[in-house]
Amino acid sequence: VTLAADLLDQAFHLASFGKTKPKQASLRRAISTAYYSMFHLILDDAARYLVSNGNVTLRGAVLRTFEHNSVKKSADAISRIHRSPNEKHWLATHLNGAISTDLALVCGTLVDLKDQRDSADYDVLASFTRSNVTSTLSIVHHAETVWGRTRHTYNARVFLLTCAGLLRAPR
Amino acid sequence: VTYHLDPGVKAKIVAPPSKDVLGVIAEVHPNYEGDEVLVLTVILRDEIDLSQPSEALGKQLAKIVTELRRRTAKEGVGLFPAVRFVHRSDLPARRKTA
Repeated sequence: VTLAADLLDQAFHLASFGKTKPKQASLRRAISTAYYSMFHLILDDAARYLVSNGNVTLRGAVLRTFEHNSVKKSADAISRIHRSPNEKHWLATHLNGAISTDLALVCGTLVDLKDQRDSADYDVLASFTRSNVTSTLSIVHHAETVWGRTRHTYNARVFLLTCAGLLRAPR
Repeated sequence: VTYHLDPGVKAKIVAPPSKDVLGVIAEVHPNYEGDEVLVLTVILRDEIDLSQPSEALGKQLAKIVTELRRRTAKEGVGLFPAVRFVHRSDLPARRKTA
């Protein structure tokens, strides 16, 4: 069982706390934990792609170099290119053909989840309902399943390299 | 500058994408970082079970998300479309007519 799967299970558990009126703290932690599940899922694949010889120490060091905002920006770029394929984008030149609906779903979910996580962790005025959190966690679960079948595609690899900061917009 | 959503574009985006959807509310909001996002609140029938997260539910909701994102792209909306799901009974009374 991976850290990503454990974190998503934990998020489900947090969202189900309190039978009638869930505490805002539980719902907020559920969103935040689901975000970290997806973040680690992507990072783990990126690190395995970059350090493929099984060196756990080196892979761990590589994992620590990823930044939340650059992962979100990479996902946003893929999502934007999928939404507007005719619009010029620096990353489009690195891609091979159209972005699949699967990859677009994973990237769109990650962008949305980062925004929700920021609200859950920092916005004291934000309010969460169980139905809203349940739907978000369910989509994350589906997106993580979809990632399993798209992670080895060429465009998914480009996404991982962009997350790692190895592909950047020209200055 | 606030992004202005054309009423004609809005009408095309918010048409219920499936029989489980009672309506969609489209609003432009800043996210926590201050970037504007198109928030699409999907009002679901109360019969859709949102009490427990599951992959089957995720698959069902992801279809709606994908369709709404396809529409916003087709209509040329430049903002990221965030999608939220609520039951009709979760909405305050003033918003139930959306």
